[in-house]
Amino acid sequence: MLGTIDTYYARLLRGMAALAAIYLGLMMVAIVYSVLFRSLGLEYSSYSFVFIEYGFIYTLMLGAPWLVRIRGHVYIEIVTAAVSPPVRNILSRVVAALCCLVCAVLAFYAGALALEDYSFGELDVRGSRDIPRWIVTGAMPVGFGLMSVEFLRFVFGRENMHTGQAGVHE
Amino acid sequence: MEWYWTLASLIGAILVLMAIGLPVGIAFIAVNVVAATVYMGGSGDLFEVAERGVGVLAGNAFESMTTFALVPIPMFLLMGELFFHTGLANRMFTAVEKLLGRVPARLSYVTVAGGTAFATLSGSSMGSTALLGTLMVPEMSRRGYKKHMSIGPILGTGGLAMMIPPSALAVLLGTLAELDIGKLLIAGILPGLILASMYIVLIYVMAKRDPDAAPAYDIDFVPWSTRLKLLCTDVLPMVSVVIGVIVLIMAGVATPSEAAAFGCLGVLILALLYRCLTFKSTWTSMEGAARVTIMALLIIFGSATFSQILAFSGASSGLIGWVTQFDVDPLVMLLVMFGILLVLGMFMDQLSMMLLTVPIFFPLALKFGFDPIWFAVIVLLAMEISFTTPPFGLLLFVMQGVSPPGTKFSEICFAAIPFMACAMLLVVLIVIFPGIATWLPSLGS
Repeated sequence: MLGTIDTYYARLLRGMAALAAIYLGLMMVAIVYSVLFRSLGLEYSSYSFVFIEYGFIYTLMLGAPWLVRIRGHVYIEIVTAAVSPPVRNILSRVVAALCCLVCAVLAFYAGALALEDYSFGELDVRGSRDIPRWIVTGAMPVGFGLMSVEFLRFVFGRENMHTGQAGVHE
Repeated sequence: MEWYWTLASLIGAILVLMAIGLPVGIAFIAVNVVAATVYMGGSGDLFEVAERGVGVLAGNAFESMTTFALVPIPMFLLMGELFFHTGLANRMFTAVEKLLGRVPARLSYVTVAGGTAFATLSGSSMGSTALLGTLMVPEMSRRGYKKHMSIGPILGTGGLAMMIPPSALAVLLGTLAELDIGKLLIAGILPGLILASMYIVLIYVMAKRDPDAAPAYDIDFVPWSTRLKLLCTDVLPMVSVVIGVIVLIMAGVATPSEAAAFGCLGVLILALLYRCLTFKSTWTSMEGAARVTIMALLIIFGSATFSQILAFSGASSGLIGWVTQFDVDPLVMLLVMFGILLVLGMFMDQLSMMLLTVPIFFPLALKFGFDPIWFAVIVLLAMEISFTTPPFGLLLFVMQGVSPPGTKFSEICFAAIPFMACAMLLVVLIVIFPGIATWLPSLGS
């Protein structure tokens, strides 16, 4: 049962990361479209700017949880490489717990911010359009929440977050 | 709290968290969450204070990340990934190798060209070193090249990569330091070309002094007509895409973001023309670009509030006031900052170095009357030199990890020294003749 949930959850994260990659490709299309239409004196949708500028938050929140799973974020191993394997096992789990806590705190307060934006009808003026702010801020609690879950897997799971090999990992 | 305690605790906390293995972005966010609560949360119970403080942090991240200025980072990365995964880059390097004919040490020259292109477009000196170390060093060893002729050029190309556009790291530095990104990209061209020339002269001199270091081997003679055809079909079109991006920015026809997107389009069109554009290559490129972009974005997310906290807590102004009261010579100040970057590069990647130092160094540089673009070029060079400086430079260890068995660490260090000396000489030249970094940007529209 847990295995099935984990498989589907992994697919969800993988799918979100794939969406992030597709979003980057579409950003390129949106820029080329707006520049070409502008140069030719044709009318173009100012939503293309909204799409591009919101892209970084969406890309980050869609892809960051998957990157945690594959240890794709930049981290440095100095202390974890210097200690014995049993100590590393404990230290690595403590570090993962700390990361989990930080992401959970951010998910909680970013969620509060998104709710506030939604309740008060906060608008973001972008590309001469009024966009409800929660559309973007709402992505933050989701992204950080899932990152928190991924770090939690390193706290209680079989694998450690750290390899024990000294150096910068990226 | 006195400004120096604030500064020491903020930077010290980030360093400790990074040292125990927190991902760099999370380490910054962790410190920012606490510091924003303390300095920006106002008064009330802990929940209210934290809500205000973290609310400011999230709001700042929203503002600093929903900006068009960041677009060149993923676009340059996508451009580079497309170049490599479609096989266009490989096609170009093969052509360059054939064009060089029987030139002594030609594999060293090809390594400089390939390493520069890969490191520039991938935005990762470490990734480039690992890849070239795996691919080129065994091949060059098989051909009888001595270690300093195979390893040295690979280690040297990192410095070039930071200089020559399109450099994603230069865009990131420009964004963090709030510089004109177009000007910074253009500013890197001349120093990059000078450094490339220095490397070429260095390889030539080393091969001349010790012909056995890069022994000649027989290859099929390529007629001049074939060479001309190769140049026109396999080199010039690829180079013209990069030059096109630079020209668009310099002429003021497009912003760096727009030029970068058109660079991607240019590579796609080329790949289509050469019939090497496949779904797999496109998908792999998009995935690769997304991976590095997300990694960088998380760090930017964490950094958005850091400089504000430094300013808000009085740490930045305290440090600037303290430094300027000593009437320090600007050159000494530059040397101190250069030295700090050299030390940081021994155990940190470039992104982390930028995030830690930019909020402190750039206000100081302005106070001392440095041209920010000129200073940024020096910072970029310093960061790359620090990565390769014996005995602790990170790239040296990466290289040892991928070198053929039996390669001594001392051999890697000695191979790096001449190339690092070139980069150091370039820094001295830029200090003496600032025009090297500032002349080209001043011509742009």
